Amino acid sequence: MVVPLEYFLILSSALFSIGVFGVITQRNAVRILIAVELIINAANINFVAFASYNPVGDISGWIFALFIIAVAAGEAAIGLAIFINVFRNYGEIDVGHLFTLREV
Amino acid sequence: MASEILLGKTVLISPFIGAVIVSILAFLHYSRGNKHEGHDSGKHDTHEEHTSIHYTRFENVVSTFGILSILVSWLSMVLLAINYLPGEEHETLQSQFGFFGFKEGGTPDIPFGLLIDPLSVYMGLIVTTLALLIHIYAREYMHGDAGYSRFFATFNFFTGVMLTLVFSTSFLELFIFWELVGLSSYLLIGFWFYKPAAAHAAKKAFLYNKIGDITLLAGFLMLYRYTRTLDFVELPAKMEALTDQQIAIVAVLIFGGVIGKSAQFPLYTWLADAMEGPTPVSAILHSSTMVKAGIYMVARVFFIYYEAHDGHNVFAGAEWALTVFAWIGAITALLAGLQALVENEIKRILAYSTVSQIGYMAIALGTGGKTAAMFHLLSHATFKALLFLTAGAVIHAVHTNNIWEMGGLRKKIPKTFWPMLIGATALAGFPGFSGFWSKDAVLLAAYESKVPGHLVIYYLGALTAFITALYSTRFIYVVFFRTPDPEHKEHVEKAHDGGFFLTTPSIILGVLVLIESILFIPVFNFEHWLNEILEPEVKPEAINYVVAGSSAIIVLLGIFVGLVLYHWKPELRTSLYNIDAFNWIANEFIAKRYRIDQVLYWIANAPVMWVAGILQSIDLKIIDRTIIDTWIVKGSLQLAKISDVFDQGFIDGIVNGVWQIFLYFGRQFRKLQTGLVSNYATIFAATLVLFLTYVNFLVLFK
Repeated sequence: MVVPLEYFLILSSALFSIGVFGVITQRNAVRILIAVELIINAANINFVAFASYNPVGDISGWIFALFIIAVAAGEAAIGLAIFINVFRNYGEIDVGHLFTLREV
Repeated sequence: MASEILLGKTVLISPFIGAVIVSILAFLHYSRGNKHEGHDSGKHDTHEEHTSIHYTRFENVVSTFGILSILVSWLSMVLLAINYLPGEEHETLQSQFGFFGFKEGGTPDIPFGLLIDPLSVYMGLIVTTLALLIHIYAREYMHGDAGYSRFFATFNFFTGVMLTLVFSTSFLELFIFWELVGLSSYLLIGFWFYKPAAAHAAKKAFLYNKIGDITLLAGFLMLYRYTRTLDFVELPAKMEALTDQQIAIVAVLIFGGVIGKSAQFPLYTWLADAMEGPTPVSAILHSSTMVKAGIYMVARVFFIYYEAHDGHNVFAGAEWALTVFAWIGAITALLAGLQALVENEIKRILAYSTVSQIGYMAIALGTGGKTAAMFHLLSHATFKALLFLTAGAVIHAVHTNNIWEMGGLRKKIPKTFWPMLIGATALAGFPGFSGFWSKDAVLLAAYESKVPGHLVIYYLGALTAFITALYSTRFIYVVFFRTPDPEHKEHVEKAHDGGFFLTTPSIILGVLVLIESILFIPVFNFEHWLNEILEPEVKPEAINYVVAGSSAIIVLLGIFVGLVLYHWKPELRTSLYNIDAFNWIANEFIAKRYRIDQVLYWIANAPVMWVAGILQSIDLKIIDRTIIDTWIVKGSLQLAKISDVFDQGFIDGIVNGVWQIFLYFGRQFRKLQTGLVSNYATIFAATLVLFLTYVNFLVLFK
C-alpha cells in the first residue's frame, strides 16, 4: 500500500499549527523552544515528503532536511544557552515577566 | 610699363617686409630667453640696462634689416622717378590688385591698387629719401633703448603705410592707409608708453586725428553717393554729377580730415605733444609723413576744388570752402609761429614751426597753388627733417630739451651746428635758400589768387614769414651762440658730437638743402618744371619781384630783430616782459596755446556736463523720489510681506507638518513595542496568515 502525499502534508500542517499555537500561548521559554522545533520539523517533513514523491528522483529535499536538522540543533543549543543566562540573571524564564525592552 | 609697376610694388612692399623681418628677429631674440623690455619697467630711461655686447649685436642686425628694406624701397623709387624727369612723357599708370567688391546691384567696384603719376612719384621720392636718412639716424639714436626692435618694426611699418597712402588709387584705399598712418603714429608717439606724458600725447594725437577722419569719411562717402566711384582716375570726369553746394560740402568735409591730420587750427595742439615720441619719429612725422598726408591728399583730389580754365585755376563750386581753408591756413601759420616764439623746448619750437609751415601749404592749396604747396612741401620736408635730426643730436649731446639750458654749443658740436644752421636758414627763408623760394611761391599764390580776402591772407603770410625768421634766429642764437648760464656750464662743456650714424644723415640733408637752394633759383626753372608735371593745364605764375623782394626784406628784418633782441640788446626783452599786457599775452595766452585745449575741452565737456546735470536732477527728483521711493520701495515691501506670510504659513507649514505626521505615527507604532515575546509571535503569525490568505486569493481568482 502506497501512502498518499496528502497524508504527509496533513501531518506536517498539524505539526506546524501545534508549533505556532505553542509559540503564541506558552510562557515558559523552553516550551517555546520546543514549539519552534515542532515548526522546523513540520517543514522538514514537507521537504522529505516532496522529495520522496518527486517523479524525477531529485534528492535536494533530503539534503535540505539534513541541513535543517543541523541548523535546528545549533539553534536549540544557542537558545538554551541564552535561557540559562536569562535564568542566572532574573531567576526565572517566564517570558511574561521578561519585558525590560518594552516601550515604557 | 610693367617694370614700372613692379618697381612701384617693390617700393610699397619692401618696408612691410622689413617690418616682418625685424619682428621675426625680435621674436627669435626674445624667445631665446633674453630679457624682455617689459621685465624691467620703471628703469627704461636708464640706458645702462641695455648696453651689453649681446644686445648691441641684436640691435645692429635689426637696424641693418630695417635700413636695408628702406634702401631697397628708395632705390626702386629712384629708378621709378627717372621716368618722370623733365622732358619725359608723364603718363598715369594704374595697377589694380583687387577690388573692394560691391559687384551686386550694378554698383561699380572700388579698386585697390597702385597709382603711379607724377604727383605720387614726387611725394614717394620725398618720403623714401627722408625715411632712409632718418632710419640711418635712428640706428644710433635709439641705441640702448629697450624697445629697439619694436621701434624699427613700427617705423618700417609706418613708412610702408605712408608709401601705400601716397600710391593709393582710390579714396577708400587712401582712407584705410590714412587710418593706419594714424595708428602707427599713435604707436610711435606713445613709444615710451610707460611715461604718462607720452601715453597721453599718443592718445591725444589719435583722438584729434579721429575728429578729422570722421569728416573725411563723410566727405568721400558723399562723393561716392553722387559719382558712384572713388577711383582717382575716374573721379575728375564725374565731378559734373555734383551741384555747387554739394561740391562745397564735400570740400569742407575733406578739409576736416586735413585739419586733423595736418594739424591745422584748431586741432593742432596734438602735434606739439607728439614731441614725447623719440626724435626720429618727430622727424619723420613732421617732414614727410603723417602731417603731410593731409596736404598730399588735397593735392591728389585737387579737381574737387579747382578746375583748370584758360590756364588758370578757377573754383569748382567750392569757393567759400576754399576761402575757409585758406583762412584756416593763414591763422594756423600765424598762431603756431607766435607760439614757436615763446616755446622753450627745442623740439616743441620745431613742432610749432611745422604747424606754421603746413599752414603755408594750406594757404597755397586754399588759394589754388597746388604747385606752390607741393613745392613748399618738398623744401619744408627736407629742412624740417634736417632740423629735427640735428635737434635730436643736440639733445643727445646735452641731455636736455630746454634751449635755455644750452648755449655756446657752436664749437662743441660743429657737425651738428653747421647742418642745423643751414636748416634754420632755410626755415627762416633767408634769401637764396630753399625755404625762401618755396615760401615765395606760396605768398605769390596767395597774392595772385581770386579767393576773397586773399590780400589779407598774403599779409598774414608775410607776417608769419617775419615771425619765422625771428624764432629761427632765436633758437639758433640761444642754443649755439649765447654764453651758457653758469649753472648749465657743466653739461655744455661735456657736449660732443654723436657718432657716424647720428651725424651723417644731417650732413647729407644739409647738402640736400643746399642743392635744393641752388636748384630752386628761378634760373633753373624748377618750379616751372614742377608745374608742368603736376598740373600741365595751368600756366605757371611769372615771378613777381614785388612779392619776392618784400619777403626778402621781411625775412632780413626778422633776423635783424632777432639779433637785436637776443644778441645786441637782450635788456630790451626784459623791458618788454616788464609790460604787464605783453607778459600776459606771451606767458598766459600764447604759451598756453591760446587756451585752445581748454576751449576744445569745454566744447566737448560742457554739453555733456549740462545734459548730465539735467539727467541728474531728473534722476534725483523724479526717478528716485517718485518711482523708486513710492512704487518700487513700497511695492517690494508689500511683496516681501506677502512672501513672508507664504513662507511662514505654507513652506514652513509643509516642513512642520511632515515632522508632526511622522511624530504622531511614531508614537502610535511605539505602542506595539510591548516587550512580550508572545505578542510579537502573535503579530508574526497573524501577518503570515494574512499574507497566505492574500496569496491564496491571488491563486484562486487569477
